Amino acid sequence: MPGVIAAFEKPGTQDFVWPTIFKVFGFPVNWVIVMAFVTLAVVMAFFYLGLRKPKTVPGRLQLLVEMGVGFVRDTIIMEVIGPEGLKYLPLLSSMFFFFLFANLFSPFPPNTSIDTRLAFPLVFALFIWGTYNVAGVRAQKHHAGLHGPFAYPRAIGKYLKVQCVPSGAPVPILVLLVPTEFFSNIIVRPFSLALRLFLNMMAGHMILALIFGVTMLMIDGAALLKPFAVLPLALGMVWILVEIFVALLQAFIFVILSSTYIASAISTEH
Amino acid sequence: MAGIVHLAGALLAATTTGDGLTSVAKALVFGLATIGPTVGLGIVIGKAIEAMARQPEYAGTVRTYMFIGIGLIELYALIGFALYWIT
Repeated sequence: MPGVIAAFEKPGTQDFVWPTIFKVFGFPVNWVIVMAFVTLAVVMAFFYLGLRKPKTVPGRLQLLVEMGVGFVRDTIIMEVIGPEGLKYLPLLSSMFFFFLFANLFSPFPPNTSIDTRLAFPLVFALFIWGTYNVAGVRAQKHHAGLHGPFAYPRAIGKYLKVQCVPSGAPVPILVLLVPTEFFSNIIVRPFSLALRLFLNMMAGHMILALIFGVTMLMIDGAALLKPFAVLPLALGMVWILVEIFVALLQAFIFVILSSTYIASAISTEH
Repeated sequence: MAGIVHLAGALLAATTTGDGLTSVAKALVFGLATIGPTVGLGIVIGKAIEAMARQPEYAGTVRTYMFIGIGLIELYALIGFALYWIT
């Protein structure tokens, strides 16, 4: 059927643009916004149902919640930041679970991950950026014992010095090194954090669309080609498993890099 | 032989018109962008496995830092993927 083949569209960035469904106070609501609230509801239900009646011998759902939070605490925070990072456990573990469920909506129905739109990871990454910069400035203020009206400006100066001026470098090199360090440590970090998650989810989604599109194309194709549609179908199923792994890995990497940034911000010597 | 000549002609036609050149450039951007990060990932993961084999008691720590390295490296391959769609 040439008509079907002509209707095959290459998967591309246009697959992630959704029309407006309705408007709330002038704000357009589309399918991605709906999915954001669905993800939020799933995360909240997961935690509520898991910890509604906590028992000493945990049930299945409670065990999952405890395993996840314990994983963030032991493998991420204690390894990277240390005991003083435990106050970031609520932030980082809720972020981990939010991204985990948001990513898992890509291989599982309804196959729309909010992380395939740059805005969502970027807001989270900018929040992390604010968190680690504020934490770094406060750690400097506390470390130097600064008081008075100029305590915060001086702490900001000390923080920027620790972040941007590598100790031990000769002065001519510093002219090159300080702008580079400032650019990479202060400006680029939130964008790289967001882009990593966004592009991973988008690329995986496009590959899934491509594999299943080819399967459809072969089923609709010549009679000789039909039996071989099994091959891309099998590849697609394997790729769904890969996507589940990527969903887990990317949630983990987002949180572990966030905690690395926090750790480097609150360390008071370079 | 005729097939090869035909293919070469098609390639020539594809590469001398503007659209064909853009496709070739796009494919090259992503292909070249994957080379460096792939080598880097190989080095990082290989060294991590080496370290885990030498010091099994530090396997957890090594794994954590291995993932940090993977996260930092893979971004560069993904930027190549993004450039494919932007250009």
